[in-house]
Amino acid sequence: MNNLIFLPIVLPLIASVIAAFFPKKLNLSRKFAQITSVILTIMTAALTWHVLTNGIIVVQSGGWEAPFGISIVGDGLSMVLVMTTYIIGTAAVFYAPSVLDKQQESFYFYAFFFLLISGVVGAFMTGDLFNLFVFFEVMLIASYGLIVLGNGKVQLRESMKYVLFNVFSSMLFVVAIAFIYAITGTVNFAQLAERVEYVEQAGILTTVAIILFFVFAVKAAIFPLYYWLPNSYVVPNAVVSALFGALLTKVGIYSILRVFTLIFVHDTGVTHQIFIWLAMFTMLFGVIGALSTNNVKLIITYNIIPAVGFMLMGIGLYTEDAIAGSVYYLMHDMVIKGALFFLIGALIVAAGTKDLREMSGVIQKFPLLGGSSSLPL
Amino acid sequence: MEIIMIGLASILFGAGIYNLLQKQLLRIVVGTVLISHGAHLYFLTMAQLKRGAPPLVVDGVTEYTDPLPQALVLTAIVIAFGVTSFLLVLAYRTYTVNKTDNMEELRGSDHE
Repeated sequence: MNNLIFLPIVLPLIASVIAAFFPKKLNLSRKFAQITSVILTIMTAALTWHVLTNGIIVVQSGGWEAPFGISIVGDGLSMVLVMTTYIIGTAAVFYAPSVLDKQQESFYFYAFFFLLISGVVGAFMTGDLFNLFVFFEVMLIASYGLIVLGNGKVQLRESMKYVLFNVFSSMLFVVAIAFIYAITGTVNFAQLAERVEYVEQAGILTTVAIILFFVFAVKAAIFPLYYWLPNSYVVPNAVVSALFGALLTKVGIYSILRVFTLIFVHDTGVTHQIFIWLAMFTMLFGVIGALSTNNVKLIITYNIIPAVGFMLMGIGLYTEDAIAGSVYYLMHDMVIKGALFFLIGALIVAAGTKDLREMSGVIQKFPLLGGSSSLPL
Repeated sequence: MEIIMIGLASILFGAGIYNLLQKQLLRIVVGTVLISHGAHLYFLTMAQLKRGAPPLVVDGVTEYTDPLPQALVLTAIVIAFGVTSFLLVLAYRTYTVNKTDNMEELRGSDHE
């Protein structure tokens, strides 16, 4: 039973490879993607149930012990997030044929989609800092593939900035891992948590913590570093935006949650205090950004930013209740952001415009769409 | 030896950041390449370059060079290689579609 914990990571990877073989046969690849994601969701639900009733599963890949082998950990937090990821993924696969045009869909959409899911799930389930970097890259490379689908002028321009920003922060991630390895001699989360207590130069750990925070904050779009997000999330197709908004920033905030409640907990006066201030500014500027525009999709995109601020606030307060609230809001926000982007995509198609001022009377033509829009809003 | 390597990595980082702040698209890509090289060099140096025999189990040898960072850095190099090739294609495509490789002209807040 324990080895089955690999399946949520490995199966989408295999599905991605299989889907890459017949991208032009649209009907076949649609059916394949839909059936696969439904099966994966059911399987993940069973695994989640198993973990929640029987306790944490830890598997060392290849039988190598922790610092050498890669450990995959299925605990309550990660399994619940993996489950949410699969629910959103399944919804996206069923939504995709109606908003993507044929050319975009046949350009390896499903292959990149499964790769993205594999990366996100892997980042949630890994028990190893370097492996977190690897899964971040898997996820980012898939997202690079998805963000350029459509090949528009503005889209390429904004994708370029998105890619550059993420490449730079990934390189800083490597540097931060190097520092941590030099200080503690391990990259495994559990071992790190044990060893940071005995490290004498505590100041250097705080510095590394801030570098790591910078890396995750870029991914999670926290206050001074969020400015790449609105433009690059608004340009791709609605289903791609939904996947990005629901999953990518949440992986960043999950990493902050994991690292700053497990490893860097001995100097909370510095790090967690910074979080509270940054969370405040993130919420403030995200909301101001949302008010600044009439483009409905951009409004929803800006809404991602204050949500991240809320979660960071919970981590910054660093009490049991606050972190429970953050985790709850994290799951809630994944589902709601996905649903919002799906609905906004449908709304733009229905109204024929992205401008809020010209968009009136849609509820008379499409009562069901209007009614369901009020649900996530 | 470590001091020299750290110095080299710092030079790579500095040159990379300088190139990253240029306006020409190709220079920016070169900047990311240099930064990734710097990061990998840091990783190798951080775990100490040579502190004993090769990491093979042989009788009588107690001091081993740590093999783990080399394995990790290999993974990181492969990833950086893939991302760089993608970046070059994306930069070329952006140049052909937008008819410019100047970042000043690639700014803007219009969304079609």
